Amino acid sequence: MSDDYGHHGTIAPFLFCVATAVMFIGLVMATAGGEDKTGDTGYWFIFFFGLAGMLTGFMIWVQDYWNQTSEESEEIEVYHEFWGTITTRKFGMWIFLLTEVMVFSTLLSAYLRYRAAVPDYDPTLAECVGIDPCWVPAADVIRSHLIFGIINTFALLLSSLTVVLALYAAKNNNPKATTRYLFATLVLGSIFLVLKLWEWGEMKNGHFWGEECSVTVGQDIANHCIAPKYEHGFWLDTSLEGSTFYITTGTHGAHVFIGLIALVYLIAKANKDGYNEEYHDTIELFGLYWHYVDLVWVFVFPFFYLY
Amino acid sequence: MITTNLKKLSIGFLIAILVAITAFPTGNGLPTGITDQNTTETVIANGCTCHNTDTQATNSVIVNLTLPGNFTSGETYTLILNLSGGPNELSDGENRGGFFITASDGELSPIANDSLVQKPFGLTHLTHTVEGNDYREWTFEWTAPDKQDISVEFVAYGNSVNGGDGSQNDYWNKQAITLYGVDAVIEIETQKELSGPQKIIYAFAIIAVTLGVVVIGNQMVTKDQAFEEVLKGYWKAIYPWLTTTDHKYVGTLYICTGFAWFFIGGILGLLIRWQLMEPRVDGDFLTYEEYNSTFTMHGTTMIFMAAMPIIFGFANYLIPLQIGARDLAFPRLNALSYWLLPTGGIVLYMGYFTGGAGDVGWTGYTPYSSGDSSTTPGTDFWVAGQIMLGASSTLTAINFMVTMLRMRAPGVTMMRLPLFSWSILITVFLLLLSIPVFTVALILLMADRTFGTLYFNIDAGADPILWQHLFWYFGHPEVYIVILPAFGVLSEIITTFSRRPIFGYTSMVYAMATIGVISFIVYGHHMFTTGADPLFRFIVMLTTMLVAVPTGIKIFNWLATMTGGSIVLKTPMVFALGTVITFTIGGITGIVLASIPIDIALHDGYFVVAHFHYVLVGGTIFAFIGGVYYWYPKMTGKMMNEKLGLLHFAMSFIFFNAAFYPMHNVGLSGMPRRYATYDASLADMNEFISIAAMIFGFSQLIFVYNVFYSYKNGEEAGDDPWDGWSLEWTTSSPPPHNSFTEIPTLKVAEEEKQ
Repeated sequence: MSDDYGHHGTIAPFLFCVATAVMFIGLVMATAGGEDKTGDTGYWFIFFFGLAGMLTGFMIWVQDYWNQTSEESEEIEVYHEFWGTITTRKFGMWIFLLTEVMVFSTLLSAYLRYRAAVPDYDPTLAECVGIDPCWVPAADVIRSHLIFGIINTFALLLSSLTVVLALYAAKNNNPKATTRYLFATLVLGSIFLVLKLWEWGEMKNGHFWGEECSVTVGQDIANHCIAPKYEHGFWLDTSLEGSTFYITTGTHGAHVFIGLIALVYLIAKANKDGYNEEYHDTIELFGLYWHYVDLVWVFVFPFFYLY
Repeated sequence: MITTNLKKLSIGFLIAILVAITAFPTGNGLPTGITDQNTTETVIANGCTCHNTDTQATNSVIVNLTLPGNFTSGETYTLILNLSGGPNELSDGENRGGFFITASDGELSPIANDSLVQKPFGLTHLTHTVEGNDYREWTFEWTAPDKQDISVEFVAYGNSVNGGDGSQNDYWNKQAITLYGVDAVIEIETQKELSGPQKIIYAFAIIAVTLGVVVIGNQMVTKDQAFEEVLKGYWKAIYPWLTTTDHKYVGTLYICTGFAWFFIGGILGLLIRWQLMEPRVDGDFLTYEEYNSTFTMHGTTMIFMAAMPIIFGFANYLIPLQIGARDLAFPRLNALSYWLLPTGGIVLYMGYFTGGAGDVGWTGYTPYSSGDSSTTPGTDFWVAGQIMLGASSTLTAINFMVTMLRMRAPGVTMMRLPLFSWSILITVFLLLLSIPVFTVALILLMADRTFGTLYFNIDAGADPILWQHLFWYFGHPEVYIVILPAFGVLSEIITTFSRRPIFGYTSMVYAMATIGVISFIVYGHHMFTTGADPLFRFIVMLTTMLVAVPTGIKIFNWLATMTGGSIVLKTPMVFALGTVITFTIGGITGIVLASIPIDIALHDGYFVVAHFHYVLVGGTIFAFIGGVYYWYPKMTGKMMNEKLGLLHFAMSFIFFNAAFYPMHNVGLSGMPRRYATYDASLADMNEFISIAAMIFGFSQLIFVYNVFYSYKNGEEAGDDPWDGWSLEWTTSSPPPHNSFTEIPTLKVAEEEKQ
């Protein structure tokens, strides 16, 4: 376990994994433990302790990069030209994104499979009489307040641009601009998450339809009366439409959130003039991930908000 | 200034408290019984403490509450509460007794016109009136609640009054009775005895602690070291292992951890066979639920915690050596991949400490796994642990993909890669595309169990078969993921010990690639009995049979390599030959099962169990044990003992076949899998299988002994004891810290005659 060519021992992987195990044990016991198997709330402390450990492990890990100013020790010599056209870390990031494609494909295909199995809600259709058998999509819930989804889309697309501008600024030895553009990305990403959480809260409480009205069969959803299915709100355990909506948009939101955590590290380093003409690849790697997250949103938005 | 103010404040505070104590009324026994909220709560919490300076109940006062045997919903019953005993045994007269009663459900009410009982301030408690003060028995009514499958708890308090005014020298007691509805299930509180697996785990823990004490103590005594010195010494030895990112050490960790879990999974397997030694009733050896956990954990452990880690352990160790690189592309990520394994395994096994490990089969079919009947939280731990293991495999796959494409030494072109390297390259490609799907499926299952989503909930209109699609889309490539590296190992061993390069290198590469691609299309053959679309089933049947073609090409190529070669019959080669035989048998039964009509009859039976054990144990495990014998000299610099190796092979091969071959027969006779018992007519066969399986299990100890013995006493191996010609044999045994002192250049990928 030597320093022979630059890699050295580190406790971060071990620590991160132990913390992950602690986090999962806390989560499972807090939600399914205890005498009645519905949750032993004392374990939430263990859960957060585990999360803190994971964050600590992450911070120890990135510490190695904190003072790095050149790629030299990282880059490994390539003897086969074709594969040498891309750096190792960039290549790794692309392969990782391939696995992420599989993640979101699974979520979207599960949603489409379920949606394609029943007709969409239409008051004139006989089989929709009970309303329950037909699909009342999340889009119907959101339609009256689509502006937030549009702002979110705009924010995310713009944030992809700001990342590119940050990279450009770094390549041009402009640390202040780099920091500012990265910070703008953080702000836009945060707007996205805040609006999304607010949207979720409103939908959960059934607010997007305005007042609760008395419910009769065959009513017109376009006039913003609540579907009987959702008269107590639209949440992930209300219906299959809810489950698919929240889990898919939630997974996307989780990816945005993790991106923001990484972004905080990048901003901190940019702020101390850490990125310049010679050393800027980390921003590009983050940018690839961020563009992917944006691309997923470009699919999620029409599939769930418009369709 | 502050201190003087503080003094004034504290004195003022003290005075206020003293005033409050004196001014605050002590409990007042009200002649009308309890009529306000505060007193009610005091009584419920402490009893009729207002009536005695001694706050304890008095056992000699007997509170007797007459209840019906059980209740039916909505019915009204007449209840009688009377007091007897106590030191104030006086006949009726003034101020004789008081009572207070609560019911946890239903409604208490006084009988009409009863002046002795009242309902204080509208709650479902009853107490006595002023008039009722003069009696020791009261009658009232109780109406049962709407549900009759619940139990209702009554708490009755009685106060034996001494005839005088005031609240001193009265004696009270209370009585709590549970009344069950006609449909209620009566819960008997018994001391929960530890289950079989829990006993084993606690036994192991005690043994481990004892061993620790003995080892440390021994070191302290024989080497005259202080306790801290001993611990420091061990810490100095362990710490490098906790922090390593070197592929050789990570690889070693993977292999050792993999084999450790292999033995744990093996013990679970022996538990299964002990259970099936003869037909048993529930609880005879294992309860039926414990049996479900046993085969679930056996399967999950063997595949995810034994087979895959052993494979990636060898991959970690050998791939950089075989391609001429110093390490993997992302060494720290590699360490992360490794450490997710033991920690994830612990999460997986936590179920054993919380009332039962996951019991849903390694396939975790919904709605059993998403509903209430599966163990909780054992199944949640099973899900969470596998999410961690899935992350581990994904990161490994990314690492190897980048390493193998980018970091090959000069001269190591793709078509000169050793076949083990090729097998790993194709394997990680399968991993990349299949593991994320499984991880998402696990997350959906976790969401259903924990957050109430409805992905697999039939009542909500969902389809439990979705799980099967998602699982098997991963599950089938998964089994190819564990067999392709075994093919790679076989190629390495067979070529070296036939003293010939592989016959048909190019076709071997294309065969593995084809197997990899087709593996994504065949997964439906696990779902022939789900009522899936006939066209889907037909396509899947054809492609499953088709996958036999490239596999057959590989087998024939190995045979052709050996023909015309000069075979050196050492332990690795013996294992390789055995593997070819058992894997071929397993492959053939796979083709048998590929036929839809046959599968419909044999699905979920022991024929299937026989098939997959032949390919997994007879294929993957035997190949990798051969790999251990082959590469152990490279990793440790010592040769393993040949005689023990051959003995190990003989015992393993004979008793593996003795155990698993008859499973084809009992399967054809209709014995279902995953059942804790079976028809008595199959008892003799099962007994035979069980005994053979146990001998097979114990003969692995020969292997363990050999590994440890040879590490100390094996003969020196040198760089290339087998005269192999892939790049790992050009470096020293064991390889130096940075694996190669100088990156080599591969000129010719075959044996060069010196």
